[in-house]
Amino acid sequence: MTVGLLASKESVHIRLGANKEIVSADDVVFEDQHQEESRTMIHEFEYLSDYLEDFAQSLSMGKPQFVTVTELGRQTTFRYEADGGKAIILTRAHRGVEQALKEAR
Amino acid sequence: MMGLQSPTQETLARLLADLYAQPGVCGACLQVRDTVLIHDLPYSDDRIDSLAKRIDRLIAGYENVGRSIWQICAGFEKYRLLILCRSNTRLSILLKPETDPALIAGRATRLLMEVEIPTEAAVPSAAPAQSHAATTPLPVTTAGENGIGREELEKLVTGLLSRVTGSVTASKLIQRELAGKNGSFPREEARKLGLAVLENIPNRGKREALVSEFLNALNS
Repeated sequence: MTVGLLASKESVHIRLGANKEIVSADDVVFEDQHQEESRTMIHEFEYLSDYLEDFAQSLSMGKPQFVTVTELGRQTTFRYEADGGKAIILTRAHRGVEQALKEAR
Repeated sequence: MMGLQSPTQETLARLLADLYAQPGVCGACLQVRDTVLIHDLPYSDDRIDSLAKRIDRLIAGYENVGRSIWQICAGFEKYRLLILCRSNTRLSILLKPETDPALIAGRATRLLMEVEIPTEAAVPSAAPAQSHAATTPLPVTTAGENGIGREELEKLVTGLLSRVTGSVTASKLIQRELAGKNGSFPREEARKLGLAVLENIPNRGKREALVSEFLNALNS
């Protein structure tokens, strides 16, 4: 699927600070036509975080560390950073979890 | 597919047990929408019912915006939670943190294909895996009736194979498998052909991951 943020790139990186502000990101994220999608991805991390914290508590699994979401033509990896920040990597290819996590570092 | 036989709780329990052939699996839960069909996770049934409802809401949130999710893998300090989705069925697997989810996903996807539940089907009562009392048969569907064209199949398999091998090699492998076969294939035949090509990937982890992706794409 080659639409939106992945129209011209194989992968897109966004790094968020502890206050959820964008610390760094690929240029494409800041293009006007992609800002809404970029904001949606940041919102998606919040959406997933609520569930992860819920799962962590109810199943006694420890703190959440990452989550990958795989769908047709795209995979999104959200990773919690040690400094309270968060990393997001969006890829066209479906990568193994280990590889996706390495790329999110 | 389960053929003409509907899967009973015993069959489901056997299928879940098959997941344990892969090291690192701590338990699994199979649900249709928010109703648990069977589970062997080390938690109470009440807690699992609650988990199943939350997982369904999580997936529904994506479906409501037109995103059909195949897989979610969440990592925690003590475990990984792998959630596979197929139609209205979800399979959640609890893994040890050092386990590669790709190795489990291929096997789990095949399990999901065997127990595919029609959307309008009545959902049977939940039962823990250890219980052999419930034998309510579950309805199953047959494979999709629509065929897939050679060109479409070739494109799908080439896209997957080219991630792990050169395009020339990928093309040769596909042409060899599809030699003399033209037109449209029934889903089952397309599945066999695709799997036969992907069988050439020597790395087990990569092979399992691509097989999983192939099966999802073929049936989406």
